[in-house]
Amino acid sequence: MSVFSANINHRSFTWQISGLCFVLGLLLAAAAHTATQINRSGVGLNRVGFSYGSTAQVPASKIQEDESEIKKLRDQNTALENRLAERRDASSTLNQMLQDTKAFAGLTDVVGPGVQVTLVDSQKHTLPPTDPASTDQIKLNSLIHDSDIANVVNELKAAGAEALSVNGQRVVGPTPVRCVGPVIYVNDVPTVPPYVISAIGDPDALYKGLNLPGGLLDQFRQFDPNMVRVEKKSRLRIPAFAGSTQMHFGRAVESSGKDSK
Amino acid sequence: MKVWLPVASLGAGLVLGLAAFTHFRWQLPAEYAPYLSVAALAGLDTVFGGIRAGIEGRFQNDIFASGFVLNTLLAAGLAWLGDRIGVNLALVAVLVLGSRVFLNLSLIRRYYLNKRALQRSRQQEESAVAPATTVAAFHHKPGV
Repeated sequence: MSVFSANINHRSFTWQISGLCFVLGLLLAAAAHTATQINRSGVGLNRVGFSYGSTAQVPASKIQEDESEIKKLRDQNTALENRLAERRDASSTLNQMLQDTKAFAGLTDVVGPGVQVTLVDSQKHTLPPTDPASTDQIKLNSLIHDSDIANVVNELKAAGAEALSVNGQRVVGPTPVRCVGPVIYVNDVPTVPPYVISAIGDPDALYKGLNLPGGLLDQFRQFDPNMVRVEKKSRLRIPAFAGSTQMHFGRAVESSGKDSK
Repeated sequence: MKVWLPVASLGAGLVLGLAAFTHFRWQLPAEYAPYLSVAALAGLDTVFGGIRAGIEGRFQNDIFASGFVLNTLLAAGLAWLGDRIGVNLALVAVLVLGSRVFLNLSLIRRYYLNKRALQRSRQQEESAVAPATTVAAFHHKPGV
């Protein structure tokens, strides 16, 4: 009690504490400001995904322009090949093979029956949380991630899909599906929800493959049934791959045996 | 005690700092955010420690000022080192500094509550004495 009731000269330390309180205020402001900046930039400290400078520097309009140009040239090419084939039987067979190969490689538009899967982000994270501890988890589960799209595409391939597109982007061999910040890049073209995945194949087989009990889409439905919609379609049109097909490193082996070492 | 003075300067520092950051568009690298937060916590700890020391009558300005600077640097440095060697040493700083802030705050609170209790008991003693004396004596009591 003697310590507490001692007569203390407050003036001596009030000023100094005030001075350092000012410095502390500056420090807190710096910390708070940095934290807000991180939150506002959309990329949390512990969130995987960072932006690549090179993809951001090419404007989307330029990409679209180039792609329509490529599509036009490819169509011209197909027309020329067809005209060439009219002349002789041999070249007609050759052309048929060429067109089959192009269709397989995803360089032509494809029509046929199939299914259409629509994935949307859940609105659950906007509801008032029942349990504050699970807020982050709900936020994470509410979003459609790049891996989800890649998994659906893979599931459709496994169920026998012959041609696939995500939001109008043809899925071919080298097609990457990757998230950069809030958008998902398919064929290096940014897309946003809703993600419409079209697949041409046996509609029943594709539908059943996706809706396996305990399967991929079940996991979404358990969280929020509104995130997934699967429709069978009697006629779908899937656009051709519009990106570059140039190979820089690999080259075709001309005949088996030679060059195989 | 002039409670308002440290509070006001803390508020001034906050407002000035935020204003400067937004006005000049200063940006600190996002990687520094955890270190900055730990450093701010160390500063908070030193300030409360200083208030407690002042109340207990053993405030020394050199200890206080050096503690503020060194503790903030040490806490941030510890967090940085933890990140380098893969152990979250920032947690150690947060735990120790946080518990010290709580301890100091409880001691400061106890001091003020004790002071109030002391004043009240003194007043009660006086009012207990008062009925024994005459009403006139109560009116011109000696200076309290």
